[in-house]
Amino acid sequence: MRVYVYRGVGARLRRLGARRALDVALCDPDILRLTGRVRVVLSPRTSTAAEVAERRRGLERLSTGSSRLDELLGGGLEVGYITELVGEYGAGKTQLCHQLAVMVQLPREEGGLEAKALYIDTEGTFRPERIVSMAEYRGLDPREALENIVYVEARGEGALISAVAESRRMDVRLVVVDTLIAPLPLGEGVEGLARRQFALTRLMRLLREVARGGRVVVVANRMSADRPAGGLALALGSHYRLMMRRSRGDRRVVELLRAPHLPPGSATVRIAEEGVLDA
Amino acid sequence: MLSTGSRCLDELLGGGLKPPVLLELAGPQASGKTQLCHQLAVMAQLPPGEGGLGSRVLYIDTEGTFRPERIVSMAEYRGLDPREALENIVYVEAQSLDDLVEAVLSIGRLGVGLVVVDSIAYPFISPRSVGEARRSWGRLAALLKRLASWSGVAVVTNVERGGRAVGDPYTSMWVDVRVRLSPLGGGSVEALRLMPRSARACRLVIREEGVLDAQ
Repeated sequence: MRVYVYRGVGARLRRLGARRALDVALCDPDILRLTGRVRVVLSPRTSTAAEVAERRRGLERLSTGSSRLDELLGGGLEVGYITELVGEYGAGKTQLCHQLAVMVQLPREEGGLEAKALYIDTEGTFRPERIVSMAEYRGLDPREALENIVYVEARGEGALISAVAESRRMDVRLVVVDTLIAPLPLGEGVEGLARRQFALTRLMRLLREVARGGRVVVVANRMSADRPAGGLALALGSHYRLMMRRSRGDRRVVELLRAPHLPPGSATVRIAEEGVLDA
Repeated sequence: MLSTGSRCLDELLGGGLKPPVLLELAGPQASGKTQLCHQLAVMAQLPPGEGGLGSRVLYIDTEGTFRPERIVSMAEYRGLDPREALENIVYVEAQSLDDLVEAVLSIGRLGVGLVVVDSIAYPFISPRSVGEARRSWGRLAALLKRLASWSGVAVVTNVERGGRAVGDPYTSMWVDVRVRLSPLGGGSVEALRLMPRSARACRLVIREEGVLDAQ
């Protein structure tokens, strides 16, 4: 979208509060025509749904390491989209995040992407020992598996934002953020809440960009007052939402809460030394 | 008249959608809003005698949730050639408010009979700064006014925050019909007409073939 403004009109528009092209474009077209001194040139980026279908046909997927879970997701996690994992403490979110960081390194025929992972740890819950056992189980050299995971500990908001921004240029095909909410301070009152929402929106927008660059993005999120934390910024910002719940013993129930083209459903997995496996 | 593809929802709407009309689909996640948008994008392509408009469709996707595979299954069920159905949908992925505004302002010259915005809420829900938040309501109103004044069928989806639709009272000012979808579990959905208010409710079920009457 481009807005051409004749000489002498700019100052008047600014006085009326129009600073960006968007402000002018949303003015009443009659007013614009009346002055005859402002021209809005539109060039929307359109394609046909057939072209979108063609793009999706070539879509790559990352296996979660559990065939039940993959089935629930229509074949695994989609490259180019954000998947959110919600659950209480101990529901297995971090375990699944570890496993994905291993899975992404596997050859394509085994469900991986033959690529490195970026693990952004905001709560200090990353355990290399877990990577070692999961890598051994999947037939990877544990030392190499660890080398292929870029680890960033981001305890503060600034560190998290710069790590996410940095990942757009990194040679990784998986970006894990465990968890997104933890480092964002909740200020006081309504204003504090609004500030956190701004930060969350900014992060989700950045993560969308990261995903569009040909990566799988996985965001772990905790529950707050029986609902996924983060409000609508997270609910609408992620493309797929999975809820993990404790069941008996080592069993965990994974429920698909949001997916634009998949029927709702759930899968049961178990958490073992070797990772998150089919129950 | 554009049929929604469900007889009971059509009855709730007074026979279907008669252009010019701005319909808002409100409701929480997984209530079938996006599914119904996909279905309307297929229905509009049917000939006028069969509940459609015989026209092309503009689909503005702000959340990245448009899935052509859904169009294919729904088109097959309605007896359309899936390939043609996909060709007849003009798709815009609106990654920013600028993209959304640009697409809405271009409606007139794209030669379509139905415009879908899924969702109108996302670009407005969490602005990047306090200043942007203050300006965004005026922009939302201007955008909805454009959609309402367009002489075809416009459908927007919206969510609720704190018990109110995002953008109210601006949204309710420009919207002609508001339908709220509430998930009942197991793929079943209840539709309620909030504007103009109606006491009748309608049960829908989301299937592979689309959003259908629950029997």
